[in-house]
Amino acid sequence: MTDRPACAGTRPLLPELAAGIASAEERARSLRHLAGCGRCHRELEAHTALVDELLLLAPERQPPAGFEAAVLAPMTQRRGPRRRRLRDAALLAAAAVLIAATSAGSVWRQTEDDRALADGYRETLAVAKGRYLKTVAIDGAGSTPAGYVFAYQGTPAWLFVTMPGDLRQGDYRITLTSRDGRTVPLGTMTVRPGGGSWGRTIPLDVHDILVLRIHDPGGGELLARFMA
Amino acid sequence: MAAGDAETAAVFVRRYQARVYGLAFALVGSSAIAEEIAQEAFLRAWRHAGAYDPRKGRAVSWLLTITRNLAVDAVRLRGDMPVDPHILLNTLTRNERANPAAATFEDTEELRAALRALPPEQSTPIVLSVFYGLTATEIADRERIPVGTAKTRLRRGLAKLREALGVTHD
Repeated sequence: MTDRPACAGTRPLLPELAAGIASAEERARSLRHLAGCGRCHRELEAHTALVDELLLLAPERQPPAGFEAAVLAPMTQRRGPRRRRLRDAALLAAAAVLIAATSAGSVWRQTEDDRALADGYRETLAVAKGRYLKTVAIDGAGSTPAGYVFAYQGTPAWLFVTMPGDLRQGDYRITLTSRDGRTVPLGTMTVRPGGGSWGRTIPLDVHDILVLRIHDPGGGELLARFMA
Repeated sequence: MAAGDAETAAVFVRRYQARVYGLAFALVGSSAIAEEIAQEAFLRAWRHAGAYDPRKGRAVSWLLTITRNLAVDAVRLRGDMPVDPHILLNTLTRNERANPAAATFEDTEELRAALRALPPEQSTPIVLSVFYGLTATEIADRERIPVGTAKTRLRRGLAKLREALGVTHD
């Protein structure tokens, strides 16, 4: 079997893609090729099927007593997956509006109707059992922040990073260091003309974050210090 | 919520709870943590049921992928690997035919045998990547080998497993 040049670049990555361990750059590059190559797409499906079969090798084990009831309670109390999706979309939209309403460097903009803003904030937090939303400046040259991290403590907790467009363009790898010293890779943000932004849910609480590290393509590092 | 939804949820959980909890326990080795992971896996699957595409695979595989990802996050946060990968490999390749309660399929036993037959330098990267979510770089660091070697061993090991299952290239 002779690979075309484009396939030759993607084929070696397919096992890692199927196992979910490819880097963000490799994944993006592969997916671009896979969108137009049926052959490689079928190959990926075969690799994915194998990974699925491997996961099935783990022996079955009955969970402790009470497990079923503990799982079913919130599942049957919730309003259903469709409404949850709508609620999540409403949360994101409300959060986006809230973020857009904040001035640079502070959580709140002083408005005439602070009570309405506070009520809106509480309502937004309540949607996903949120406790708070905070911003952390990304250290820049001098006193001007290089950007901001918006951190939401809820279920799930998430981070949203915004950076202006006068930075070096390219892919910025993002990691966080937790208070107990662990490094957690989070993904990659692409900065283009006009700036860059990035967001995702995080597998720990916001208050467990020590520092967010944004690794620029030139080898430097920008920090957002959650615990000064 | 309508009664039908509650029944559907109950069937869903009862059908897969042993598989989900079993995978979580195999990865983290702690009943309490495995229980948390398994509960969260069901909740996430239930919340995102609309994202499941049956054309892409079985529901149990989708659910186990969610479980595995949660376990990977839990292990990363703890900063260690609670179950030694070699012990996990032994667990995965143990012949289940001797267990009358185990639900096994011929293909599964063939895969177990094929995994058992792989040399350790190929089976270990498979376990580390598929079950613990380690990248090729992390596998290389752990095994003290070049990244290229780690990738090659992973690819060759998976290729042998595919041959054993009769999955052919076009």
